[in-house]
Amino acid sequence: MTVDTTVRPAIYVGQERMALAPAPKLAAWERELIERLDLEWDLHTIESMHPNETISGSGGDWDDCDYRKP
Amino acid sequence: MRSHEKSTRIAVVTHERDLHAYAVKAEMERRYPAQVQILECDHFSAAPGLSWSPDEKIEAVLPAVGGDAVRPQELDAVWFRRLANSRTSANPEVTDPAHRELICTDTSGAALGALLTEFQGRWIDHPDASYTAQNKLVQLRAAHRLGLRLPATLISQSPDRIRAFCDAHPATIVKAVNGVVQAPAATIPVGRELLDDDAAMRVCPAIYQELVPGRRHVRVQVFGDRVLAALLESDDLDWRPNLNIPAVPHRLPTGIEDALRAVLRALGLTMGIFDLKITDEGEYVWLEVNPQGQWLFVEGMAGLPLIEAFTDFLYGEATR
Repeated sequence: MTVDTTVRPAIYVGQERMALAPAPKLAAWERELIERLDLEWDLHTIESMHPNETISGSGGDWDDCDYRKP
Repeated sequence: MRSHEKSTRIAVVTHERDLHAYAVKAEMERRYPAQVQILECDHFSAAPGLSWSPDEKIEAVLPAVGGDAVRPQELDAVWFRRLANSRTSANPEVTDPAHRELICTDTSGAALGALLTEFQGRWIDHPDASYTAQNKLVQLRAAHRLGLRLPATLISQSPDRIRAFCDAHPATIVKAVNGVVQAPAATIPVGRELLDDDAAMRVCPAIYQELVPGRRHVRVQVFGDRVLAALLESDDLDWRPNLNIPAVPHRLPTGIEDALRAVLRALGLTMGIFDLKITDEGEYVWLEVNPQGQWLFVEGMAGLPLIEAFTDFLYGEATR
């Protein structure tokens, strides 16, 4: 949404995109869960994720956008 | 625990590094005679890849994490969580955005088709029901017909109708009908800037709703008959961008629990993740249902035993 545009859809008037705040307690719980599950990858270094996005949460619009019909 | 002669076979259809899937797999295999295979649809380029043929002369297989070939006809249940991931780290050698979109779209289409034609077990939930229920208009109509309290709502791209609606409801919010993962948008109040911008209103429909005041938000997990709710306290209109907020387990009135189960039945679903809000007068107001919404973070924030509850539910469905 950093592209210059003369018309932006209504939901973007007044906001660029959802600004995520850090959630350190939830992130710590996720790290503990990952360790408990013995997963080898570090989920908190996924390049495509916003640094403040949690992996089990809803902050990235996972609820709404991620499973549209092919 | 029920005992079975053979191990129950369950597949999770999802995207890469889905913590929900891994948490449930671990819990399931620890507590039940079951094997859970994770199908990361954005990583199907890993061996053995996907194969299918209409005459069934070539065995249909889907690739699971770890390299196993999963035969859909041998599965007892499919947890149909996610089918595509536009942000995947897979196939970094493919850099053309159109090519990446093709890989995403065609893999999703082939995976869905292979499952629809081969799999004979229990869906959690069937793709047709999930996709239909995901539509906000469909679920709003279902909730309305079942007597839940909804905020006054208009879905429109008519500037005249939107302005008239906002005149009738001085505090109004706007949110996406579907949204896009490339630019997630929070629910925000409708301001003068938008009401003066005919082009913004006209370019596509959006959801305009009466603002529900209050700071008590409820995230409700319904897994079969079991209802587990959490109260999230936030002064923000949309709590999702800031999850660093108080959250505690919450008991819903029986009538609300029954109404939510009825919505799921009407939508052909066995599970759903609901967003409600409690008014200052204590009334529960419907916001939406996410057929495969995120729920794991609610365990992390409120301490609800959701991994355990979902595992029980999924095993129960797989062995019904």
